[in-house]
Amino acid sequence: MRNKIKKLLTKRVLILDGATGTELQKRGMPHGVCPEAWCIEHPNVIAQIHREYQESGADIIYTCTFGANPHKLKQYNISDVEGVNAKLARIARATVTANGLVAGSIGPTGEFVEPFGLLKFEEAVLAFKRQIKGLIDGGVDLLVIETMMDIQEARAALIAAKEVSDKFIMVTMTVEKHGRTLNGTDPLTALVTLQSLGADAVGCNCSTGPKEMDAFIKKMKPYATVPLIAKPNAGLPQLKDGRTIFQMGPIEFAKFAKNIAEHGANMIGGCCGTTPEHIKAVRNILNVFHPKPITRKSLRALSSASTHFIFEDNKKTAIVGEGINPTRRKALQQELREEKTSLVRQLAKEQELGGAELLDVNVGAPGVDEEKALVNVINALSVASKLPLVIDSSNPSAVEKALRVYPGRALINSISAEKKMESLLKIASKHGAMFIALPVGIKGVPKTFDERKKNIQKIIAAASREGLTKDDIVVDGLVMAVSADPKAGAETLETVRWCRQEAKVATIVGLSNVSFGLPQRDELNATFFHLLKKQGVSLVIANPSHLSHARSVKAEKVLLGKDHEAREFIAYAGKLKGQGKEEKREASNPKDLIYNAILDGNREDIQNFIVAAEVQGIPLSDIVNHVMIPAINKVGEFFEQKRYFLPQLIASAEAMKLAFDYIDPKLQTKKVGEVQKTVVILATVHGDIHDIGKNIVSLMLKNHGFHVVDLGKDVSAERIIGEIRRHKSPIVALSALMTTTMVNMEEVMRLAKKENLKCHFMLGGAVVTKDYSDQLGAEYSKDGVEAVRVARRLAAGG
Amino acid sequence: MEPQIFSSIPLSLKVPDVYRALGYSQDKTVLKEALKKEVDACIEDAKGCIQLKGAALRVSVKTIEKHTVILEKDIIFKSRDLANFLKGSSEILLMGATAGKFVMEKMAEKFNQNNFTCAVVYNATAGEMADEALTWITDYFRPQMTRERLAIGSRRFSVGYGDLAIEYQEIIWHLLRLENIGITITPECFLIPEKSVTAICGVRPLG
Repeated sequence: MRNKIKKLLTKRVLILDGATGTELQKRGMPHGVCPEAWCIEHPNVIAQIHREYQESGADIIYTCTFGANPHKLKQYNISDVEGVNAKLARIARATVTANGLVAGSIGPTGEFVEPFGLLKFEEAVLAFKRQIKGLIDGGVDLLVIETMMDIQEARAALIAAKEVSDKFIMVTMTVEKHGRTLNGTDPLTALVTLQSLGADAVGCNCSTGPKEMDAFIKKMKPYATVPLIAKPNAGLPQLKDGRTIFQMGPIEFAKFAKNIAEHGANMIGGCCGTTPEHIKAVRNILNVFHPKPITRKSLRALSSASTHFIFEDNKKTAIVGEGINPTRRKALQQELREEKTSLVRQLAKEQELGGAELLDVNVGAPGVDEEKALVNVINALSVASKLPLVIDSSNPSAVEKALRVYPGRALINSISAEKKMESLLKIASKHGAMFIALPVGIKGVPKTFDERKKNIQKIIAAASREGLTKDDIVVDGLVMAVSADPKAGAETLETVRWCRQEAKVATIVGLSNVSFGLPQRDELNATFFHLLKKQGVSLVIANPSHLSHARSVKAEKVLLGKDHEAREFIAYAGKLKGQGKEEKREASNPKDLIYNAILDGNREDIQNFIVAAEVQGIPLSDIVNHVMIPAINKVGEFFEQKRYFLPQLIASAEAMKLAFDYIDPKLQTKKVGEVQKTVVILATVHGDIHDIGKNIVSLMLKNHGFHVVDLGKDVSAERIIGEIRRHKSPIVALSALMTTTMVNMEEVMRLAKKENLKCHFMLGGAVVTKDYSDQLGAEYSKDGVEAVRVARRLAAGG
Repeated sequence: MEPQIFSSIPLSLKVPDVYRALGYSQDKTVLKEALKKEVDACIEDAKGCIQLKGAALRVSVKTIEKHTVILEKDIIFKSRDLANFLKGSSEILLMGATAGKFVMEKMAEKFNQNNFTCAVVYNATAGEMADEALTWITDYFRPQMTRERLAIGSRRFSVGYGDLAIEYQEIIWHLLRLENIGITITPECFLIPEKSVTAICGVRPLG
């Protein structure tokens, strides 16, 4: 049957059925019932829908088993998963005539699968296996895993289907109009993952109308090694007279379906809002349409849950981050032993920001259970990083476990022409992974290019026997240290050239080995990187932050074996060692520099500028009164005009604070700036735990010369009163975020009045308004800038 | 009534939304490259610290009166504004989401290190992501509801809006079992971690 379907797909576009759920409701299924159980109780209704779709021209009819998995059925207290699926499959099989095909529909469990959710991966696989067994018992011709938003759940269902049967398997993801599933997978990434894992056809259903889905098919087609599927809704839902409806009619729908077919879909049907009339119109328009053929047999590509990496000839060399490797990293070893992943996640993030496009993951260290640790780290990275992973292990069992749970298409690092080759190739083939071919044989590391070539050819031949192609292979250029073998660099460059130009396989080089034992390693590595790029290397394993170093001719001579024993280079490196860092440029006009530093939020240089001003004999009080205060006032003005946004205001305030940190201890007088050091008591009131706004006000007031006594958050009225009395503070600023705690401001003011304390209150916070403040007889400040203005007015007796 | 738990919500943050939350104006704000780089880096750092989780529960509406909404199991919300908002709804979708404890700890750490700029960016990023998580949850339920011929509203209502008293936060917290995603509630009905949110959406029959 599988081959029959494949053959049919070469002849014409196969038509799929339309919506089932909405049709059932139109025909009397009440809201809130289990659709599968209702269909078993009303077999004629679902049979009639199947019949109408087939009569409308659908080649493939989906069983009404979308929610017939153990997790969904449990919600209706149904435990006979196999029975429900078998019964519904039999209804479809008995209804659909011999020229039609019945596809067993497998929908999501409604739970997210680890690492994106709580449902264990193997539990998900088992759940789908139960459903699939029922469908096969009921006589379905093929299986369709549909409406998946979680790529990991789609993988679990696909693995289950492959382990239970040899049926033709379709997989469709539900992609939102912005081009990703809700879980963040784009259609091309899903295609890379699912077709490599063994799906026979891949595509999209639901969520969007045919117009949007057309764009997804267009993107996928050039990279598809399998037929593509499109099953869109009848347009996007529209709001009409307060009701949401799908309003694309059959004719319009069919026109779009033709576009989709022209752009490469091989199987087309309808989802929500479509009817037998929609399918009939699609059938009519595609009746004589010849399907667009699949243009490639294999694809050199990797993926994660949210992105893909396609090896293309014109693509620049990509960096594989090498940071997640516990060798010589005690902290990482310790973390792996403790089964933690925070350092791993941090290293991933750093490398991603540094420009890595793939991440190498190695967890091999003494005392670490590699199989367990690798799965743990793969799960953590699948959530924390978007980059596709390179699984770096020589332990076949660990590699297999990691590949099974990895929600993408990974690259195995590595397989050599040694005794584990056959078992690792079988694992790569089963999981659809790519692998790095390490040209090392039984005799060890070959020194010459010719020996390497033999090993590469041996691995390619063995891979082919397992159904893998050259597109699944990345050859390691096997770089050795030039300090030990002056020809090592040149041998690797020749290996890379041969792989690219003659063997037509992708290549990878572990960059840093080349410079082992020599000084100025970053320079050597960067230069070797440049030479490798010229030969067209696909990937380099490196620390991305080390590659920005300037390359040099001297380094190039070492790497090409033209500098005997690297003598010239070592002498050059020795000279460099004595040179210091570049001096900072001197300030020409310190007052302007200070002013600009506050305006620009330049925290790095402001204290240096003040020192420069002091050296020129400018009095500190002059700097404060005539430079800093006008500058911070200007910042406030800009903020109110929206020329500055909050981070600019805060960065300037921080620069100002740093300036005061330097100046304050040096000033003899109590008077700073325009304002005497008036004490302001500042607190977030009792019951309230929010303090970011209060902290900003504190910073701003301090910068304007106020002495702020910040009592923190969740402060009782009694304590505030005590502090007012102790500091004889004329201004009290209170903050609250919620209406439930806002009332505690009133309590503080009531107590202050009772105790006859003479002070002004300023109120602020998300829910506090001017009206509320006025009612209490307090001042109101909407933000830090206004708080300064109000406090200055109050301090001046206004 | 068992809420659905989302133990990891995969959002791709829209950086312009964080800028907007920080007061950035496309037409007016003039930002130098150095500070832009710093803000962008802080957003990236904050994203790395955010552990976005959520919970949601579909609850049937029994009746909607002028000032009262009565849900299944006789859960009562007394609020004229909520009753107006839910007019015509056959059920509601209750949702909760949190940016997690770790990002708040990191934000406090930044404050303590006097790195206020970074702290305010962390604050805004966490707030935006928690809010966006609610949109994600409604998007999650939308196709499922469409199959049931139901439409979920795009607007949300939360405690503190209009006359819906903040005390209802506790009922929502219990219904969503928000402790399962690490959210606790104070006697004043604050959700902790701070960047945690809840909301209600109306669900109406489709077509």
